[in-house]
This record gives sequence, structure tokens and C-alpha cells, in this order.
Amino acid sequence: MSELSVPLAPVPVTPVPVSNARLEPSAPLHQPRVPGRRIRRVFGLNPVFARELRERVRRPGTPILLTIYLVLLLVVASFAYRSVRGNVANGFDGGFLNRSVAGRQMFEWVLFALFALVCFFVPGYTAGTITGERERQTMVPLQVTLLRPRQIVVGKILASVAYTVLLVVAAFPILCLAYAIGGLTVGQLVRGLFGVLFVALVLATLAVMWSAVFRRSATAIVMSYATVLVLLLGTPLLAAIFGTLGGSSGSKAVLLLNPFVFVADFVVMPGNDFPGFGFDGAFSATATSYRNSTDFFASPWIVSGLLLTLLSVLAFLLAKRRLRLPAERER
Amino acid sequence: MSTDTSDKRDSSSGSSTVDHVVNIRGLSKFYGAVRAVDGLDLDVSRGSILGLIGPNGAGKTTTMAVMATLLKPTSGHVRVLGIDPVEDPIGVRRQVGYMPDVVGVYDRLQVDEYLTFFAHATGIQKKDRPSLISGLLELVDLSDKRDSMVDSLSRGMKQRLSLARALLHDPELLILDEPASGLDPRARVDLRLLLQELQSMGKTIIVSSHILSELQEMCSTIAIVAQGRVVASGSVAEIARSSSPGRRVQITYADLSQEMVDVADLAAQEELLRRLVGTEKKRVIEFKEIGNDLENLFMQLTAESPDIGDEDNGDSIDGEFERSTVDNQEGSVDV
Repeated sequence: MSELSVPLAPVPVTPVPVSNARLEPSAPLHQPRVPGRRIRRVFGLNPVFARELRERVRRPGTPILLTIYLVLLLVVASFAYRSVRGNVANGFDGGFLNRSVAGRQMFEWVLFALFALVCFFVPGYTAGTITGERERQTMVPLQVTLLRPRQIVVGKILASVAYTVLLVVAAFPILCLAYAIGGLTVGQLVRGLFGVLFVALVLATLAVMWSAVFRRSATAIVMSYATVLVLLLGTPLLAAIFGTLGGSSGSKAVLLLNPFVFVADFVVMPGNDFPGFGFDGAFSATATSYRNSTDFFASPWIVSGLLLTLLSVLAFLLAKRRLRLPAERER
Repeated sequence: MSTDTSDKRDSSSGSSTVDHVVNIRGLSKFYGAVRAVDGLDLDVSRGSILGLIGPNGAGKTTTMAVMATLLKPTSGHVRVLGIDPVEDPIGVRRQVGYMPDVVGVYDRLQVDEYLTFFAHATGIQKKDRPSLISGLLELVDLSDKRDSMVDSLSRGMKQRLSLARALLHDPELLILDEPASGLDPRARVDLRLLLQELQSMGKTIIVSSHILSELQEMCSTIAIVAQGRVVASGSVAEIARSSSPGRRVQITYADLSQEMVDVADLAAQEELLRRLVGTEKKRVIEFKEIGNDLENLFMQLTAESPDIGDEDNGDSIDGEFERSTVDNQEGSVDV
């Protein structure tokens, strides 16, 4: 141990035409804080977001998924249209009242299909996002960069939401058919799209959380679908149980965690409806049950939106925490 | 046992000040009852290439993961470039390039897109990325693969790409976990030359391997790790000299694949081996001399999942490795 300065046998080194200077980044890594820099990083320049988008559009399944989605939506729209056309023909010669009802019915059917497809697709293309990195052994190189866990999680969520935006934009012309028939305001159309996008954001955040929590994609996907099922079907079940126990306001409060209730009340906002037409579409029926409700401090869609936002924030914080390094165990 | 691998080498430069890039004292990492690292001490001097060597499960990867800010130690003092990786992981990551033992790649990205992504994630300014990436691709000899999909690269190319990724932010310290694993001999030579080139740029490099001959060729200093501790360390020449003369290599293989059993049988028939005993799946093989083709073949075959212990009383480091691991890993080496 005392003579550690023993020279090594000379090893022939092939000269490589490279200099130290070229390896050095020409700008310092510590950038001075510039206003708006963080916003740009979150919305436009998150590297994870950019890479996810690039990979996603190159995935062979992407056009297939989009095609299946649009075919399903068109099938629903065409059935709705046939039903609507029958109603109009049998009514007041296509007068204003019937056309309005018909337009609303078609809108509700298509929006319902869009909502259902988004609820079905979002966990599928989001839950494997972090587990997939672990399975492909790309997570460690990502984590030893200067990216904060927050940026990784935000990038993943944004990538998922961006894909949903693509789905929603693709569905827009179909929804416009309903608008052409009548009975709809532009505001309702836009609220419908934004309502679905908000739900997609909530579900994406929950799916990314499960993806951060579990090691395997299969587990994360199952848990994400289970979460969607609990929110969509579990809450009415719980509400029914509360109802039988006599807690009417409690059962309504539980239902506010249901994304469907949020969209229903958001799209068909009380006071901005065509009262008395008696249509029985899914959204308006749900919204009607909340109309004139005095159980909450604000409109049901506001309370519901706040609850779902709170749920998402908790999911985001947990996901962020799970990616924090150094960790107790390798994940 | 002192585990300082190279501090005294600095005296040759006339400086009495020891410049350690890594300073670890009493590092322990327990997973429940399992002691992955158990009181490890290690110093790495600036500009050296340190080889961490030891059998699987010795604690090499865990030690590297702690240095690379991935794992929180159970106890011990760890400083990487003077920074505590637990207190300031980002500070450590700014100056450390880490390459894990398994090279995962994004299969739908081109080589330059892959590096651009990591350059972005490492905080390199957009305008600086193209020239930096061109330089790195040239350094790792992948310039002609710039537009290839990462997935289409060979294993050796992926290793070099991963090394380029670890170099993006021009780190002072490179931590490479099993960088030569699974590489063919030509690719290993390329890797060795590349590491020596990086050393000449002033970088400090830590590499690990369970294949003795790999590290012997590329490292200036060696630390032999067994059962979560550094059990021997020093320069390659010093460790080699500390072994007694005479060549003998004895390797125990457990869980032999059929392919390896066949090779062993064939070798025995042709009297290439001095001794071959054991059962169908577990053999003790004594080679005539270290470094022959047969040994290399076995090393390659077992590179992925060996359960080996080595013994060599020759002028290589294997003898020290064997003694260290036998002393400290009772039962794992069956000789």
C-alpha cells in the first residue's frame, strides 16, 4: 500500500480528434432567474413533455387508436342523428321547438360518447408512463439529470392531456353537427369540450400517480381503471347507500366526486338551459337532479370541480414524492 | 484494512495535499436484514480511473447508486466532490455523470434526438446543443449513426451512446456501472481507449466489474469489494505484486448453462483444463493459465449471471481477488 505511484504499463491510445473545450457547455448551468421562465418550462419547454409527444406520434398504435375512437364516435353520432331525424319528421314540421330538442339530444349523445371514450382511453395511455420508463430502464438516466420530480410528473401529465386534446379536437366536427341542427349555444358546446378536458386532466393525474407508485405497468393500469370505476360507478353506489340511510345531502355530496356529474352540471348550467322541454338525455337528467339544489355553498359544478382539483393535487404531490431522490430503495 | 486507493500516489507529483473527488467512510446500506453495503471506506483521487471489483452482490452497484444520488445510505459519511449527495443531490448531479449497469434507451428516438433530450434535461442551452452533441458523437465514434433510431444500435453502440449521455454536462466525475458487460472484445478495447482518452481530459472515472481482466486493463487503481466492504485496494501493479508467484486459476461455476457444460466437457477432453470436477450444474474448473482463450470464453459466457470465485497465484490481481472474496464470503467460493 505504500508504493502507490507505480506507473502503469504504457497503453497505446488511439488519438481521437477531440478537445476538452468541445465537451464544455458554452453556457453556465445556473441560469439567472428570468420572469416567465418557469411558465415556459412548464407549458412549452418541459423536455419530458416534448419527448413524450414525439414518441407518442411515432407509436404505430396511435393512428389505430385514433381511428377506432373516431369510428366509435361516428357510429354513436349516426345513430343519434337517425333518431333525431325521426323525431323532427314526426313533430311540428321541423319547427324550432323540435329542432332544439333534437339538437340537444344529439349533442348529449355525442358528448356522452366522447366522455366515455376519454374515461376509457386516458388510463390506458397514461398509467404506463412512469412504470414504462422503469421497465425500459430509462428512469435512472432521467432521474440523474437536473430535472426535478415535479417537472417529470408535469411532463407526463401534459403529454397525456395533449393527446386527449387531439381526441377532443378530432371529435369537434362531429359535435358541430349537433350545433348545426340547433338548440345549442356555442357556450354549451365549448363547455362540453372543456368539461371533458378537465376530466381528462384529473384522470391523467391519477394515472400518473399510480404509475409513480407501482413498479409494473400492469398494476398501474389496473389501479387506474379501478379508480375510474370507483369515481364513475362507486360514487352512485355509495350515494345510494347514503340515501337508504337517510342522508340525502350526504349522498349528493358523494356524487360530486363523480366526473360525469361535474360535466353534466357544467354543460347544462342552471339558468342557462331551455327549461321545460322535458328531454331525457343523460347529462341534462343528471344536471336537473341538482338544479335548485341548496345543499352546497356554490353551484354543484364548482364544488365538484374543486373536489376533483383537490384530488388531483393530492395525486400530483404523491407522484412527486415517489420520484424524489435519493430514495430508500431502488424503484 | 486501509482502503485508500490512491491518495499516496499524489506524492509523486510533489504535492502533500490529497485531492479526493470521492470520500466515503463507514458507508452502510441495509435493506431490512440484508446488508448490501456494510462499513465501506473509499477514497478516489482526482484524475484516476478506479476499478471497483467484486462478485455479484458485493455492494458495488449500491455504492455507486449512493454516489450518484439514487440511494440514501443507512449510515456513513459520503462526499462527492465535497458535496453530500443526500443534502444536495442536484449539486452532485451537476458534476457527476452516471451510467447504470443496464442501458435503457427510448426506442422511438434517433440518436441525436436522444442526446438532445438529455441535454435539455441537463440544462444545456438550446443554441449549444447541436455542437456539443456533434462533439460527443465524434468522441464516442457514433457520428455516422446520428440519424439512426436508438433501438437499432448494437449493444456496444448503446453503451457508447449512454456514455455520451453521461458526458453531456461535462462532469468532473464519471461513475460507470459494469460498462463492459456484454461487450465483445473489440468493443471492450474501444471502451478502454475511450476511458483513457477521458482520463487524459482530466476526468475522474469509477468503473465496476465482476470480470477481473476487464478492469486490470483499464484502471489505474483497483478496490476489491466483497460483502459490502473494500477488502483490498491499491494500484494494479501493487495488488498484482502482492500475490505470490506461480500461475493457477480456479473458478467455480454454479448453475452452468448447457452450453457451458458442453464447452467444459470439450475442454476437458482436449486436456485444456488441468482439472474438472463437480456435478452437471456445478463445476470446479482449473485453468492452465490466466488469459487463455478458454478462460475468456468462460468469462464471456458467465458475464451476465456468474457465480464465480477465482483463484490465481500469478502476477495478476486475481489472486488477491480470490483470497479477499474467500476470506469474506464463506461458502460462495467452492475450491
